[in-house]
Formats: sequence, structure tokens, C-alpha cells
Amino acid sequence: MRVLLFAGLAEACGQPALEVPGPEAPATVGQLEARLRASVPQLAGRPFRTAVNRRYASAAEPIAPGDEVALIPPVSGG
Amino acid sequence: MAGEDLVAVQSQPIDVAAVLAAVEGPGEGGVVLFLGRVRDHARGRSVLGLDYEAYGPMAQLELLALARHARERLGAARVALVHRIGRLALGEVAVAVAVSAAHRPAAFEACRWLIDTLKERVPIWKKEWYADGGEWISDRP
Repeated sequence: MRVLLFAGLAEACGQPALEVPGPEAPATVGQLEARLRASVPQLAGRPFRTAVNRRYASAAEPIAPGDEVALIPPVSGG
Repeated sequence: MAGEDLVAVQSQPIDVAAVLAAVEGPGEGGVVLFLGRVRDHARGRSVLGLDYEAYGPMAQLELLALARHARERLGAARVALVHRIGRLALGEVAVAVAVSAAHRPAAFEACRWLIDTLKERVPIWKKEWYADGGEWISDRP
């Protein structure tokens, strides 16, 4: 599974997307966030929300194969 | 553009006259326009310019949802929301919000809610450039 990165998160990770580590894709947003927090040191101390298919998603929301998943750092438009 | 709302995330300069024209209507007696411009200072530092980045497709959906809310819940008749991305110089317009309504209270209220909510939830980010480098800004750390 691949997740899209933006702004400070993309800069910290040195790339515009991350491949989620592990043998099986996480089934929910909460599982995804926990796995990323445990395995990607560049995310330490960096808050983000997760979007699934271009909508903000709660921790319980399932992730299906083919979903577009993105990490949204605190926004600063306007 | 969807229905009556003009919504865009774009790299080309914002045409403010077109933003105002998009909310014109025969029954709308009040029009409020908010422009956000690139300022030369932030948090005590001199700012030389800004970069804006967006998660384009999601930003578009969020802006459409805000415009719909303003019409359905806040009494706005027509809404235009346009945000720039890319490199902006001092003084350039980064965001334009225009609202028309039958009377001014709804136009003011909806415009204020739209820019406040845009800044809270639409996936767009700014990077400030200073004499000694740049920094991504997070409004809700």
C-alpha cells in the first residue's frame, strides 16, 4: 500500500509517497497510522490526519485495496 | 465549477473581477469579497515570498463542500472560492472568497465562515521564505 505525502511531511520523508511496510496491508485507518508511527522515524513528532479517497477519515474507517490514501499534515492555506 | 459555485485551486494569478462576476445575481443585493494577500512578515520574521502546495483533488472537493454549506445553511446565494498554488510574491492574492446574498448580514457571515473554515480544513499548505531559508507552516500543530 502506498500513501501520499504533502508539504512538510513529504519534505521530511524526502519523497511524495510512502510504501507502507509489512506483509499485509492495514485494514483500517487506525492500523495504518499505528504501523506508520512504529516504522517511519521521519514521522516522529509530526501530526497528521489521514484521508481516504480524498475525504478525512476516522480511525475506524476501513481501507480497501485501490483506495487513495493520504497523510494530511496541519493545513495552512489562506 | 459546479452548479452556481466557482471553485478553483490554480497556479495562474487570481482574476478578482471574474471572482466577483461569478457571484452576481439579480436578487443578490449584498456582495462581500475577502482577499488574502502575501504579507511581508510573520511571527516577527521578514517574509520574502510564499510557496503554496495543495492536495489538489481533495482541496477541490473540500472547497465545493464549503460552498454548498454556505448556500444551504448560511443564506449565501452564490459563492466563489479560488486559491493560488505555487510561488507567490509579496502582495499577490493567495485566496479570494466572494459571497452574494439578498442582504448583507448573510453575505458577511458566510464569507467569514468560508475563509475561517478553509484555513482549518482544506488541504493546502504554505511555505514561508526568509532571507535564510524556508519553512512549512502548520496552523494547528
